[in-house]
Amino acid sequence: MSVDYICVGANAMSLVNGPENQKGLKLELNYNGDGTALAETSVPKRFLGWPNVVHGGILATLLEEVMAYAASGGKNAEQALSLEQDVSFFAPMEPDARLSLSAKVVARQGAQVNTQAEARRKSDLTLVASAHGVYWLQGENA
Amino acid sequence: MNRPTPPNSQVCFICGPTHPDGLRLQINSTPDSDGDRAVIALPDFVAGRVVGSAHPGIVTCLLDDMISHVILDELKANGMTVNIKTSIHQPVPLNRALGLSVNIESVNGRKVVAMGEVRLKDERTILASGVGMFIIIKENLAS
Repeated sequence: MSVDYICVGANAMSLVNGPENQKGLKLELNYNGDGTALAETSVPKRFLGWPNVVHGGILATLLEEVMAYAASGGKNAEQALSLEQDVSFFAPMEPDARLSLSAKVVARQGAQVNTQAEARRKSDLTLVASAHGVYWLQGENA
Repeated sequence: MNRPTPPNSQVCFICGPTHPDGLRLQINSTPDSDGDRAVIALPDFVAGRVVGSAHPGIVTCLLDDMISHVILDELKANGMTVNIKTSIHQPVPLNRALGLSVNIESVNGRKVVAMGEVRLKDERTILASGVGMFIIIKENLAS
């Protein structure tokens, strides 16, 4: 699976996938032709909430970015303005373990795009968190 | 008044007081005159897609952490996030003082619902709001 998208230019400091952000997560995003955005990562220990548990807000952050990439059709995620995210947590996630992220568009009307996403522990496919997102695509006709 | 960070939050990316790469959010046990329990200016490394703005997920991080601490302060209990819904009203700027407020809306058995807001501290413009549903997992903690 090839890497399609890493932030470059003005937002190269993005926390999630900015290549110049030395404290960032450096997430690499991929886009399938079926409209699904995918990513796989390990969250470092510096992003914990409680001991040995990744902060739920960091999981929300990763899910938000994957949903934005799906909303933008795997093109320029900078155009996807986040309006809402609704995240549910099902299981704690330990740091430095592989996490699989996926997102897809579930509805689109004009410039508004609704998405859903999930994060699973890769080793046993445990559902860690799921999310719904609402985005506004800049430059699209409402 | 600032109060000590709970033992299980020492490593927290958001509020861990000695976390070398964290945000070191200090949360007060009582609201200030604006109703805020914390004030923070977010650093450049939590940037999002919009230039000069924080990542929307970091806004969720802040609200999630704040709700957890307010549950601890007011209910003397550890709460774990079940669900959190965040609305972004305007991009949340980096390097500007933000006021963070949280109020517990309901307690029903072990289920707690709380609402939070992120505002520009000086202008009081609302930037984001959120609703969190938490489940109490450990009660009767010492204050």
